[in-house]
Amino acid sequence: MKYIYKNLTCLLTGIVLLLHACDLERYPLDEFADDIFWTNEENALLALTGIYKSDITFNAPEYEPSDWWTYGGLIFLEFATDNAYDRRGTNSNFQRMTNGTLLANNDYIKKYWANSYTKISRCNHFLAGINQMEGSADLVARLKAEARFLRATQYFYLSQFFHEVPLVTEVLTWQEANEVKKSSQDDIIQFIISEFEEVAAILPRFKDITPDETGRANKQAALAFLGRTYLATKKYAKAIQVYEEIMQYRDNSVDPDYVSIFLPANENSNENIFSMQYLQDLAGNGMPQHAYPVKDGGWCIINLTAGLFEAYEFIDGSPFSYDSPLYNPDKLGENRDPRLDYTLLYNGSTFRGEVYDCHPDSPSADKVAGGQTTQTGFLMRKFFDESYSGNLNSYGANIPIIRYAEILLSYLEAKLENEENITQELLDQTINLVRGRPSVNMPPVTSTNPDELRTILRNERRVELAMEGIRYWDLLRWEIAHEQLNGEVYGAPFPHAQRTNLNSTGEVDAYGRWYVDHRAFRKDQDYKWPIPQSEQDINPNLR
Amino acid sequence: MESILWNGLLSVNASYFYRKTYDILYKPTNSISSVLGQDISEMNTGKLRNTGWEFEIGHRNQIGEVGYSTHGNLSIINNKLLSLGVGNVEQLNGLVDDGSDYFIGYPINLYYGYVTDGVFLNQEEIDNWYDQSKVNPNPQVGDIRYLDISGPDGVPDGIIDPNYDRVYLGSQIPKYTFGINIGIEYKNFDLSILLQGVGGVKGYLQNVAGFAFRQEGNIQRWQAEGRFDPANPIRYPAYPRLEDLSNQTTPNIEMSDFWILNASYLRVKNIVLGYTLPQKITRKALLGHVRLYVQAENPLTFNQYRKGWDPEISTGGKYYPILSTYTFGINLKF
Repeated sequence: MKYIYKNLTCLLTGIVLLLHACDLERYPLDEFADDIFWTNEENALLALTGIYKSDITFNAPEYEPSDWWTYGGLIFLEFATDNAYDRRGTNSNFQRMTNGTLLANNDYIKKYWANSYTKISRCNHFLAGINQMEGSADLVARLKAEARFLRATQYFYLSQFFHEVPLVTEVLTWQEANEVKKSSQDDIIQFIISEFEEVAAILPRFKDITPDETGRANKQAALAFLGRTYLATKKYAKAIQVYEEIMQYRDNSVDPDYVSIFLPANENSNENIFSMQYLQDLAGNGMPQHAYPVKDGGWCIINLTAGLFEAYEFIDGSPFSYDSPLYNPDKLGENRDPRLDYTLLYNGSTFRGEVYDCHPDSPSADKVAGGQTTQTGFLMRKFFDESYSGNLNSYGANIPIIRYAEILLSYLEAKLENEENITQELLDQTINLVRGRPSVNMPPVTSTNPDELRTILRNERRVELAMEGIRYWDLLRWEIAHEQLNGEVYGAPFPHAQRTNLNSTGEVDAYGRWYVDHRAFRKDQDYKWPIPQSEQDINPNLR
Repeated sequence: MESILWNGLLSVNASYFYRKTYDILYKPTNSISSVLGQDISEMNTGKLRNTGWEFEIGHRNQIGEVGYSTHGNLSIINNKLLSLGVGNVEQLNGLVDDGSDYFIGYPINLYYGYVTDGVFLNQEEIDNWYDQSKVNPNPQVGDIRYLDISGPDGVPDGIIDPNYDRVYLGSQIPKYTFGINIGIEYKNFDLSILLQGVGGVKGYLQNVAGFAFRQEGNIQRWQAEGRFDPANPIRYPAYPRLEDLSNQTTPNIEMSDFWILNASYLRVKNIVLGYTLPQKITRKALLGHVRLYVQAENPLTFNQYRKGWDPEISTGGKYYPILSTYTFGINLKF
C-alpha cells in the first residue's frame, strides 16, 4: 500500500511537471500582450496611434463627449457658454454646467474625466513600454515626447476644469487607482509647464511634419499649450516669450481664406497648428447628422445664440446695435463682419443650395419650435462643406485645436495684461492680421487704450474663434463667467413674427428675439467642476 | 422533509436551503476608479449567500362524481451580499458598497435612492423645504420633494445630500414565489387552473418606459393624466412636473421611492376547460375520442403596476408585454 502510494505521488508530480513544461502561458491571438509587444518600431507606432485614437467616437453621432478634442467634446463645450445652446434643452448636461444646476453626478463631466484618464493611462503604458525597446534613439525620443505631450494636454484640461485631480504619471494597478490622492492645481500646472517645455525642445517643428505624419504633435502645438497654461496662471511675461518663439519660426501664418481652413479642402493650411483628425468614410465624424437643419436630414443639435450674433461688428468696425440703420432684420448678415455669415446659419440664408427657413410663422419643418428643430433660430455653418454629399455620419473635416490666429490674439492679450506699451505696430502684427485677412477684411483696430482694447480683443477672440471650444475656458480664466453666463438666453430676432416665445417675465423681447432659456452661473462654485460622484464613491480620497 | 399522509390525500414537502457562493467570476467595472484608465478583466471576487425555504403541498380527492386535485408551492428566498471583494468602500452613510447598486448585507440587485414626500405645490413650500441644492439646485413647483434622512452626525441635518440621504428602497429579487395548480373533473368536463405569482419585490420602469418625452419620445396615458398640473396642484400626483428630458438626467428622475413600484403580482397563467363527448355519440360518428376545449393563457393578472406594463418582466420595461392567448380546440382520436 505504502509502495503504491509512493509511486502515485511520483506519477502525480511527473504530470504536474509535464504540464508545466508544455507552457500553459498563451498569448491572445487577436490582441497584443504587454511583455512581447515592445519589440520593434512598427509596434511602437501602433501604440502611439492608439493614444491619439483613444476612445473617440468615429462614424456615428457623438451623444456624449468621447474626448476633449472631438466635435462632441470641443465644439459642444460651447453649449455651456453664451455662444451656443444645446438642442436637448435646459436639462442637457452641458447646459447644466452653467445654469446653476451643475452637480457631481453630471454625466458629461464624468466623461471628460474618464476620457482624460484613459488617454493618460495609455501614455503611461506607452512610456513604460517604449523604454524596453531597442530602436533609433531619435525616433524613440520623438515618440516619447509625443506621448508626454498628449498626457500633458489632458492634465491641462483637468487642471483648468477640475483644478485638483490625481497626478498619475506611471502605470497603476487597480488597487493603486482606487486609492490615489488629489494633487493641488499648482502641482499639476508645474508638471505640465515642465512637460510642455521639455517636449517642445524635442518635437519636430510644424514645417517638418511630413504629409504622412499629418496630425501628429509638433513643437508649436506644445508651445501653444504652454502659452495657454501661462495665460491661465497669469504669467504673462512667460506667455509672451512662448508666443514670440512660435511667431519667430514663421512656419505658420494667417490664411487669407477664413472659411476654407475649416473644410477638408484646406484643413491642412499652415494656420491650423494642431487639429483633431477626421477622415471621411474611415474615421469620420457624425457632426453633419447631428447639426444639419431638418431640410438636410439633420438633428439641429448645435444652436447659436443672439449673444454670438450680436458680437459680430458692423462692416465699418462699429459695435452691433439693433437701433443702427445698418441693421436689417430681414437680412441678418447684411453690413456685418463677414465671419457672421461664415459661422451662422439663419433664416433666409442659403445652405447646400436651398434657403433655410426657420421663421416661427413658416410651415417649414425647420421653423423654430420645441422638439428636434432649431431652438434659437441660428444653426452653425462653420466646419460644413456645402458640397459634401457623402455619409452624414462620416464627414472628414478636421477640427482645429490650435490655430495661428489664436496665437496672435493670445500674444496681444499677454502683452496687454502684462501692462506693456501697446503700439499700432503691435496691433497690426496681431489682431489686425487676423481680422484683416482678405476674406474678412475688417477695418484695423487702432485703440491702444488698455481698457478699450481689452473689450475689443476679447470680442475679437470670441468671434474669430467662435464654436472652436475655447470660449468656456476664456470665460473661466477671465473670471467673467458669472457676469456673462447669467440671465436670459435669446435666439434670433423675428421682429414681425405672429408666433412669439415670451421671456421669463412674460414679455415679447423688445427686438423680437426668440426667448430660449436662462443661465445662472454660480460664482461661488461653478468656476470649478466637482469630481464625479461615482469616483468619490469608489475612492474616499477624492471626496 | 417529505411526507405523504392519509393514503395520498395530502402530500407535504418542505426543504430548507443554504447556499454560499464565493470567488464569483465577475467583472467589477463599477468597483474600479476610472483613474485606472483601462478596462479590467473578469476576476474571482465577491461572496453571496442564499438561504430560504421551499414548501410544496398537494391534495387529491374524489367526492361523488367530482374528482379534484390541488397542488401548491411556495419558496422564500433571502439573498444577501457578504463581500464585494474588489471595492469594499465604506460610504459616508455607513453602508459599504462600490458606488454601484451592490451593498454588503443587502440583496444584490436592489434599488437605492431617496425617500420622497410628493411634490412642491407652490414657491413657499420650496423656500421652506430642506436645502436640496445638492440634488435639485433649482427646484420648481411640481418637482419631487426629497426627505432628509440623515447627515454627517447621523441625524437629519436639513440638507439633502446623495451621501447621506439615500437608502435601500427594495429588492429586485422576489422574496416569495408561489404557484397553485387546481384540477377538477366532473363527468365529461375537465378544468385545470394554474396560478402563479411573486411577492415582496419592487419594480422600476426606467428610460422610455418610465419617463415622458425620454429621448424625444412620447408620453404615456398614465403620465399625461397623472402629471402634476399647476392649475390643479395635488401633493401626490402619479407623475411630477412634465419636463424636456431628451437623453439627460434631471433631479426628478433620480432614483427615489417615487418611481419604485410594487412588483408583486398574482397571475392566472393558464385555464383549460374541456369537454369530452360521450362515447355513445362518438361511436356513431366512427370516432374514438373527441374532446373540445377552451384554453386561456395569461388571461388575468392582479398587480399594482402601471397600465400596459408587466411586473413579471422586471427589466425596466422596455420589452413586449406578456401576451394573453385564447385558444379553442378539438382533439380527435380515431
